[in-house]
Amino acid sequence: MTRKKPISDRVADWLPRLVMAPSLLVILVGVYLFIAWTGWISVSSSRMVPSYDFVGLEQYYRLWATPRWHIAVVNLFIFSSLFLLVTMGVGLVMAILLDQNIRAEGALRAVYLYPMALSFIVTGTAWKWILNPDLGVQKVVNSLGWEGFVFNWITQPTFAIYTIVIAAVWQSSGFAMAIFLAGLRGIDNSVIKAAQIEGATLPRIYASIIVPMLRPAFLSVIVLLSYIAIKNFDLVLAMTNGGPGNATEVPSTFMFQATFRRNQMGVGAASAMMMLMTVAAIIIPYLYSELKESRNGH
Amino acid sequence: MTAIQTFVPAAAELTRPKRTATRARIFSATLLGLFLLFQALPIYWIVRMSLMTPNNVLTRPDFLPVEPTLDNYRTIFTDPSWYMSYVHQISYVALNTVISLAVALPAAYAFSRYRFLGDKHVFFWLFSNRMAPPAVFLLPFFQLYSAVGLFDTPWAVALAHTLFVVPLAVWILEGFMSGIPREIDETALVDGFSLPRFFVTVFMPMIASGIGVTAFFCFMFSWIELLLARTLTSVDARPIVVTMTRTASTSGMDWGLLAAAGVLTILPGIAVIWFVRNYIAKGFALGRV
Repeated sequence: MTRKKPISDRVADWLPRLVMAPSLLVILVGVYLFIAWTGWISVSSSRMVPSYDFVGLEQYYRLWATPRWHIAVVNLFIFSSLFLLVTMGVGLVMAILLDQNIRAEGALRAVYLYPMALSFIVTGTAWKWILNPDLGVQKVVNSLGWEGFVFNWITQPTFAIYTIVIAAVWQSSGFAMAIFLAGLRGIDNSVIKAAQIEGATLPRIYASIIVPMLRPAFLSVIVLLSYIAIKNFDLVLAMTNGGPGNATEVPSTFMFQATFRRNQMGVGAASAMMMLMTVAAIIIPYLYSELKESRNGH
Repeated sequence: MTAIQTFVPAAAELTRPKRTATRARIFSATLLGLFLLFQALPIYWIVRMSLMTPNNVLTRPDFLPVEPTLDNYRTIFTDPSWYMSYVHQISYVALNTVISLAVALPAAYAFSRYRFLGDKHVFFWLFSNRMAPPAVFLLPFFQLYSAVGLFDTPWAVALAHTLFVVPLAVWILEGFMSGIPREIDETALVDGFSLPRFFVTVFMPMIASGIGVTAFFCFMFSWIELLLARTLTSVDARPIVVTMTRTASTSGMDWGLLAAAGVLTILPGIAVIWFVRNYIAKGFALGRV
């Protein structure tokens, strides 16, 4: 032991750097070089092919002067806020119920995992059918005798974005539930017992003791769901393809269209940079709080 | 993990009158049942549609499949543009999983075993990169691949996905590795194992469940990702998720065929989940998923 120690010390010195090198290099080149490149394109006059002149913020002005981009931003806002609220609500309630009904967990664990294995394209196809007024829910209810029943949101420009929220909630609520459930399992039961001896009711205990203790779970759910919301592309493509009209345009579909269909590479790059900045605005405070916590922990 | 094993169903039935407890239990069971139904119904609907002819799909709202047929599946398995899409997708997903694990395993080991300057920062920084929206990388990947001739190959998609998956893989693996006492490494090294040999023959079997969970997430990310897969391929490497969108946007909707393709994309996921279902909870418990 005593004689080997210097060697393992020396190993400890160079090994981490050596094994880290490939992945760090990949990340460094891949992430930063590519982001820089996209950033550069966003301040150039690129249209169909990249050009490397500098035109300042012209592409950003053009981006913000495009009505479609405004629709995309508003939709992103509607979609993300509703999607986060409903998914977290459903996920939290289901996690609490599941935490109480331990026996049901075996069966449910499989079920809440399966939507994760589904491509948004498949989800979108299923929901497109279900929400189609001539095929899905509306037709089934009509054929059951309620002739006047109308549920045609997916064809209505004002409501179509909400149908995408429904499908996204369906896909992600099991995932949110799993994270909340893991958080609930980490809470010591003696806390609940103590509160009960004090005479608190169960809903009260959950509202004022348990939920505040789930703060780390809330943080990870919020970060992961906002990421899903901002990169949302597949679901829109499968369900409405941006329509009716441009009513369900979101930033990802806008970026794809501008860059690869309408030869506005500069505008596309500018929209991608705007998305990146939005994510950064959410992630950096989260990272900061995580770092601060881990520093206090050690 | 211990938290899960030692968990006793909380509070509900400890001190409260029995009747309220039973009523609360029925209420919560009903809600859970409804949630289950909500989660299962669209999947059932896809399976149902995949077993019907185009005409029946459009005209019959019955709950059970009408005149069930395997024609849709037959079309997929006989038309090369369909079944080759599966081959393409499986090949880039497999490539991505293997590359990501090979890169992430040593990196995660370094994070869990050595303290080096700024390791905590590097760790979080690595993870934060996973959050960059794929749209930012579309253009550079597209240009780079067009320049070096990788465009429209399985490697193109696999390498692009690796960028997103490696940080996540390091993150999950580190959680599992930190659960293994450091003394085991030290003992093995003293016993004359070289580090690589120790890592492969002793350490990796010990975290097999962690590797399984990580592989699952690599697989899943790559299997359902669309934006990069769609942009970086055109014909020769076009994956099934993209083929499905192309069909949807051109010749009207062949619901039955789309549904059958959808069911076939679900199957590998179900198989993988089946293998790792008991370990996933551990991943969640570590807060690493």
